[in-house]
Amino acid sequence: MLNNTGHLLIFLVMFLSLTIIYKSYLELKINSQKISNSIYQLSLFQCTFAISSFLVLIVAFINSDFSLINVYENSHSAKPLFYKIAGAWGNHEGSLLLWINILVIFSYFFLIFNFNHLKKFRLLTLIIQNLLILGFVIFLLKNSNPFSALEPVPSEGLGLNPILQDPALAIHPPLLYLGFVGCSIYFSAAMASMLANYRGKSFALSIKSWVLISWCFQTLGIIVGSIWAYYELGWGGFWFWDPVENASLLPWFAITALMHSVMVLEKRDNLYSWVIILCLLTFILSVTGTFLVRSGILNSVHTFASDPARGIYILIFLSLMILSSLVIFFKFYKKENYSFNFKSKETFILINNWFMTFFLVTVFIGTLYPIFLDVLTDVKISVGPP
Amino acid sequence: MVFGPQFNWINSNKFFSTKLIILILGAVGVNLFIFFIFGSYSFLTNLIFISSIFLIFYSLIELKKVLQKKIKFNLPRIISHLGFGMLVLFIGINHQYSLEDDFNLKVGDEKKFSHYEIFFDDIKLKEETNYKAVIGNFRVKNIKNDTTQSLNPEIRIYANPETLTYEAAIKTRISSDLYLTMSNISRSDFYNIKFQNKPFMIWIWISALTIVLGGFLQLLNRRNEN
Repeated sequence: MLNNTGHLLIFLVMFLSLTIIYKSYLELKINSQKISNSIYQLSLFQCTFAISSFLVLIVAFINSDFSLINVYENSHSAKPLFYKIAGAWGNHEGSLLLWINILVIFSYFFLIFNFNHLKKFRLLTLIIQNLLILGFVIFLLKNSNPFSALEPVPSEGLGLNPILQDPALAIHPPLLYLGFVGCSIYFSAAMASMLANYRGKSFALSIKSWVLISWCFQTLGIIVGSIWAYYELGWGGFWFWDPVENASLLPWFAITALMHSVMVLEKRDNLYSWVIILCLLTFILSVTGTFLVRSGILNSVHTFASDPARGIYILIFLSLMILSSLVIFFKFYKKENYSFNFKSKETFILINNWFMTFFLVTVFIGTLYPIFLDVLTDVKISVGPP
Repeated sequence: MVFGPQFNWINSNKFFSTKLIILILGAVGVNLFIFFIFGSYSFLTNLIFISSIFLIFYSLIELKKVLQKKIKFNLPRIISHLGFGMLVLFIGINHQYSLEDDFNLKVGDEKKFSHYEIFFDDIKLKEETNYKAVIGNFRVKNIKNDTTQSLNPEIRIYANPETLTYEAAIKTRISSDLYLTMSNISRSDFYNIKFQNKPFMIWIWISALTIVLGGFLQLLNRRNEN
C-alpha cells in the first residue's frame, strides 16, 4: 500500500510542477503586479505532497516494509529505530527524494518570501525551479524510485551498511543537501534575472538571504561530515583529499565568493555578470559533484550509491543545465565597467574572489586531472593535497 | 579579511596604520612562541601561522570595539573572520605537530612512544541489538605530566549485513585529542594498534562552528533589517 501512496504523491508533485510552469507562463502575459493565488496554492500543495512522500518513505522504513525494494536493500528489522529513520536518506533513492523535497521547499519559500520583487522575475524563477524539479522527479521515477515494489515480499531485509549506522547519518546528509540543493534557487533566480532584465541592487537583495542560508548549511554539513570522518576509521581523518570531500568543497568556494561579491552588487551596482556566473556555477558544481560520486567515476571511501546508469542521466541533465545557462548568459550579457579604486572595499572583495577561484580551480584540477589523463592516455596517476 | 573591511565603498584615505604594524609584530611574536613550544620550523607554516594569528588579533580587537559600542552590524562578519583565522591556525598546528605510531600488542603488553606509555590491560565482549563488540581496555600514561587516561576502542561484528567495523576511542581534551584504534590480526593473539596525539583538535571544530555562527547571526541581522 505504501508503494502506491508514495507513487501517487510523486506523480502529484510532477503534475503540479507541470501545472505551475503552465500557469506561471500564462500569468506572465497578464498586466498585474500581483501573482494570482492559484500559483501560491499550487506551490503549497506541491510542497505538502513532496514532504508527505518523504514521510511515507520514513514510515516504510520504521515499519520495515520489505515490499519496497529500497527498504529491503537498506534496512533490517533488528536495526534500532533511530537508524531505521536515518536509513531513509542513507541510500541513493531516498536521498534523491530528499533532494526533490528541498528543491520544492526552496521554490515555495522563494515565492512567498520574495513578494516585494518584480512579478516577471519571480514567475520566471518559479518556472526554472520547476523545470529542475521536473527533471529530478523524472530521474527518480525512471531510474531511482524509492517506492519500487518487490514480489514476493521477503521476510527480512539486507540491512544498512554498518559504517552508515552512526548518529551523524541523521544530520550530515540533510544539512549538506540543504546547502547544495538550496543553491538551485539562486541558479533559477540568476537565469530569471537575465531573462526578466531584473538586475543590480534589486536582484542582489532578492538572492542575498538565500545565498547566506545555503552557505550556512553547506558549511555546517561539511563540518559534521568532517567530524564523522575524523572518528570513523578508514575515512582517513577529518580531511583526506578524498574526491567526495573535494567535490563538496568546490561549490563551497564558489558560494563563499558569491556571498562576498553579492555585497558589491548590492552596494555599488557592479559585478552583475560575475555574480550571475557564480550563481550558476555553484549549483552546476553541486550537480557535478553528485554526478561524479553517483556515477562511480570517482572512487572514494565515502561512496555508497554509485551506478553508471544513473550517472548518464545526471550527465545529460547537467549538460542541459550548463548549455541553457551558457546560452542565456551570452544572449543577455551586457558589458559592464569595472573601474574600482584600489583603496576601496570592492577591490578587496574582488581579491577575496580571486583567492576563492584559485582554490576552486586547484581542487578541481587536482580531483579531475587523473580521470582525464586516464581516459585520454591510459596513464594512471594520483594527485595529493597541495 | 583584515584590510578589506577597513575600507569604505568607492574610495578610502587610509591604508596602513601603526596599529596594524604592531599587530603584525605581535603575530610574529606569537608564532615564535609556538615554535618555541613545539620545536619545529618550516617557512610556509610560519607564513600561515603569522597570517592567521594576525587575523585573530585583528578580529578580537574589532570584536571588543563592536561589543563595547553595542553595534550589531559588523558582528557576524567579525565572528566568521575570527573563526576562519582560528581554523587555519589550529589546522596548521594540528597538521604540523600530530604524533602517530602504529604497532602490534597483545593483552598485557605495553609500549612506550614519545612521552606516552600505552598499556593493553584486557578485552571485554559486549552485545547490542544490531552488533556484537570486542572492547579493548587501554591505559595511556603521559610521562611528562604523570596523568593516565583510559581508552576503549571497539571491533564491532554486525550480522546484517555481516561486516566488521573498527571504532576509534577518542579522549578529547582542551589541548589535544588522544586517538586509539585496534584491529585484529588473523590467527594471532596480537592486535594492530594505531595511536595518535592530535593537538587542538576540538578547536578545529569550535573554529569551524564559529564561522557558521557568523553566518546565522547575519541571517538574523537581515531578518531584523527587513
